[in-house]
Amino acid sequence: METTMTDNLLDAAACEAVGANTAADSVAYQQQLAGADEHARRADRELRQTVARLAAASPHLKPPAALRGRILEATAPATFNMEAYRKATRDSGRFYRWGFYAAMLFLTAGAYYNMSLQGKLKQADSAVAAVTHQVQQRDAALRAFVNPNATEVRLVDHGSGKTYGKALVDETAHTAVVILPDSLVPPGQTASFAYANQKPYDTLLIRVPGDAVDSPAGKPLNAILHVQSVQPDPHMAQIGIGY
Amino acid sequence: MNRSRPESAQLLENLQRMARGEHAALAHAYDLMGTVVFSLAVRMLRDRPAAEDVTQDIFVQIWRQAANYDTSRGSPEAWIMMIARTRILDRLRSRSAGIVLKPVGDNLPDAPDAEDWPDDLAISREDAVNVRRCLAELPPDQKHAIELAFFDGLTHVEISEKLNVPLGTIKTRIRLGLIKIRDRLKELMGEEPVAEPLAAEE
Repeated sequence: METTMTDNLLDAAACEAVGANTAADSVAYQQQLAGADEHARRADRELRQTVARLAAASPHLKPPAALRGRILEATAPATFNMEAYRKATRDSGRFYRWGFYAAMLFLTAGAYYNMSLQGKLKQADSAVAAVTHQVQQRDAALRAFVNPNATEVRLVDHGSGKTYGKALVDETAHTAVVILPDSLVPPGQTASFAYANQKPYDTLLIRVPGDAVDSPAGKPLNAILHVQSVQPDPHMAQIGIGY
Repeated sequence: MNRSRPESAQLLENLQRMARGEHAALAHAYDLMGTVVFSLAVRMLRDRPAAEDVTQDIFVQIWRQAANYDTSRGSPEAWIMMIARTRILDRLRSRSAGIVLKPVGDNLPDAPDAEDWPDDLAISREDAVNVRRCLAELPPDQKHAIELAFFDGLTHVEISEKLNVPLGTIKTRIRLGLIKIRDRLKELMGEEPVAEPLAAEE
């Protein structure tokens, strides 16, 4: 360990402090200093601080104001700021606006499609319900035709003598299936089968499309209300129309 | 350095805060040392745009290496100036080998009395006045050798060749000049004089 500061060591310390040592000299000095005592290290420290002060011998020149900002920007922690990004990229926001319009258009089209689809589904439900009702009526008619207890009653126009409809009456079950042309029963009304002055039967009306049967000529649709004119045979049966 | 100045204490505190990752401390450190570093860079590089670039590099390095600062190895100002000089010298030496340095002070404002020096820097106006006074009091050959090393970034070998003076003489001039500045600064700043006689006459 060095115990005294030789001129050679001081030369090296001074040249090191002022940056005048060559690379090889600098390495050699650092090795010397590592093995030197506190006295040498303090001298080294003082010479370095003296050299640091020499900077004040430079004429004072104020750095440009922007330099401070550049340094802070270059060392800023990396964080993502959307507003800063938009400013940096000079984004006017038009892409966001058009994106919003496109999204709204898409949502509107979707809503319209959904409403349209719902309407179609309701129509389909109604059609299915109508078909189901027709199937139920057909099944009831078929059951009535094969029912051994059922009696067939023809519904005849007294004036012309023509048969416009039929009824299958089950006395035991007190039920009747009445088959009439669709044109004879106004929409929203149904039929009730009964013999004169007796309790009406539990009646199922089956409408037959008007073009499938021969409707009474020249008679208004409400002619069915004059059910007495359609005289059933042979038991004086009559049809009543009600809601 | 005059460690009793509040600016110097602030610089130390800012270095410690930077070591903990407080970015705002770098801004404060720049306010205390930015002018000193930039002035030195302009003086050494004689090129303002290059001085701006290297000043930025220096403070980026200070920010990254603040945790490496060790108070036992010198004042924060000395540590920062050591980094600054190293970076500026790197920039100087990366220039083409054929560059001819202009005389010291060429195209730079003269400020012999340091009246231009702001008083809110880590290196105070008083420091600036005293340093310039110490340099002015040096024998011309010692002053010249120190200026060529410090401001122009020449090695002792290059100074020897440039001045056509033996290498040993250049080393001695640098040593004597620096020791005179150190002792004179202590005297001017009212600090304790160096106990042991380190200086030897050339």
